[in-house]
Amino acid sequence: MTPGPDEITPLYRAIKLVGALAIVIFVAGALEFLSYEPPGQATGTVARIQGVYAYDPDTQAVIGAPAEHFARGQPFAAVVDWASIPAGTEVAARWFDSFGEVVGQSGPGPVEQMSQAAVPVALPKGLKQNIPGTYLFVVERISRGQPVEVLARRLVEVERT
Amino acid sequence: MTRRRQSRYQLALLLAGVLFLVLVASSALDYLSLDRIPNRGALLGLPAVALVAGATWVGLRAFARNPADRRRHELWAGTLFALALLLWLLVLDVFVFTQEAGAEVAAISALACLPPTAFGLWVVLRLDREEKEPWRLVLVATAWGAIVATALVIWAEGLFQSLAVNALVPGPGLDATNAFSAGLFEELAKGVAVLLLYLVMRDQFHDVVDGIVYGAAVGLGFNFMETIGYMTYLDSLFGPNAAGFQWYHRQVLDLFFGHATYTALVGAGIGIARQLPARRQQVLAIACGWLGAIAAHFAWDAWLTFFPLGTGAITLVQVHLRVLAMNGPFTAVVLVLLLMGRRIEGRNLVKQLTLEAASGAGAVTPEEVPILASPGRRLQARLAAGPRGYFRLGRLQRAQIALAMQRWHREREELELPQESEQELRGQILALRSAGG
Repeated sequence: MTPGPDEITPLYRAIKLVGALAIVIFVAGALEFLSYEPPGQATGTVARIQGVYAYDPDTQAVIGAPAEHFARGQPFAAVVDWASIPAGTEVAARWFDSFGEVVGQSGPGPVEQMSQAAVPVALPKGLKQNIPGTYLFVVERISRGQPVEVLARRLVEVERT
Repeated sequence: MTRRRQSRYQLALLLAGVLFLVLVASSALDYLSLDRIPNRGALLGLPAVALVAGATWVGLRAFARNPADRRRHELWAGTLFALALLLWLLVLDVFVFTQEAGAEVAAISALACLPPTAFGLWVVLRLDREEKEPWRLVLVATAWGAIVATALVIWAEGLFQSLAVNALVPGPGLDATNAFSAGLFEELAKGVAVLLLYLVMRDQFHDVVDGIVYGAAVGLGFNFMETIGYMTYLDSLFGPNAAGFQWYHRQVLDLFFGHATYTALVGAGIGIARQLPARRQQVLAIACGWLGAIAAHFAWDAWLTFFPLGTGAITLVQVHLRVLAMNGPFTAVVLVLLLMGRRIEGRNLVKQLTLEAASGAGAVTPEEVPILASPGRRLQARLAAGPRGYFRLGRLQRAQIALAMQRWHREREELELPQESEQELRGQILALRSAGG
């Protein structure tokens, strides 16, 4: 009686097919990545974020000194020095919460038209307080309607209590 | 010890050493990031310390014993140390995953996750109809998924995502990168358990079916701990309804589709490698299974947003369809591999039972062959034997099937057990037969 390695061959072929399918998925993922993170887009432009401050929604003004930690009930906003960006640049500023959702935005548009220095975080629908966790603020350069370069970024923490 | 076995054990030891160092680093980071140690830490931490002390004591005693006793003591010391490590990691997991909502919510979440996970394990154990894996080993695999794998990935993913968020444009590109890190780190951390079983527990790891069973068990364990983490977090943010939905999604809808499927793919690759003759083929099979798992996990995390959910009652339908559409194909692949493996097992079971019956050794009779070859007929025979005969016949059938499977694996030169073990099995079968009258 001879051992029959052949009976395993269909399984071996099947698992190699799984490996090939995985490579197709990775290629699709890489293409997706490259389409949203296209190479050769770095201009070296740096935007200046003056800071992240407590924010009064009634007066639409920032309060006090810049901070990196906020209580859940405290509205806050980032202040951008739009003049630090070269004229003619198309830009946008966005806030992302800890789930990666956009929770505040200014733009997109040419930097000359960005009149609002403070970009506040909006409360998520149905909530009375901000979700705790790390919030990301970015000033982005836009090309063909798509963000292609981060000109400045700032992380702040919304405390749990 | 053969040279091949020795090199496998050395590789396993090396892997265990690396994992231990990673876990020590993870513990240190946990310690630095946690402000205070509540009482529940002492509750699990102190037994861990006691177990380490016990392991040291038994380990020291092993030096003074004769070779037979020494091995037993070393085994005990190793077991106690492993238990201590598991308990300690459990302490860390409890902090890291449940600190959001507190111990009460965490306990309720854990209790809610136990029945579905137990059901999942029950199903997984029954996937192998002919040669069931020892439930203790399957539980070890589950514990690895729940405790060790989660502890391994938490910092790796956190650090990777922190680097990505500081380097990339937020949006789909960053999401894809984070999805890749989740797939890579989580599948590596889970799959290494199956790889260690493959390297060390050869006598309990025979083929693709075994690999799928161990892999799915690791995945169920990981899913158990991750669900508790998500439930407590969402409860602290949005209340019990959000936690309840999370429970349904992960413990009911996704129970077999998510982590269980991904790690089963790793297990399938390793299980197929177990029966391949050439080292190159073995490495390729393991790599393909692992890549499949990482890709399946990546696809779910990265492309979930391509299936946006509506509002109202339709959302419920969409949630189910989304899981079916995105994870269903990978689960189907696992099922196909499982069925292929079971067909091969079944075919060889009949062949070896027939040969054993023809040998006239008495362990299997020609009349028993068609009964033993069919799970349904085996059950019928046990039921017909009455309440007392049910278990006795069950033991006899298991031993007969184990003998046939051992013959098959020996024929394929996959066994390291000596030829005498086959004769011992025949002896056991004859003893069981005569004990039953």
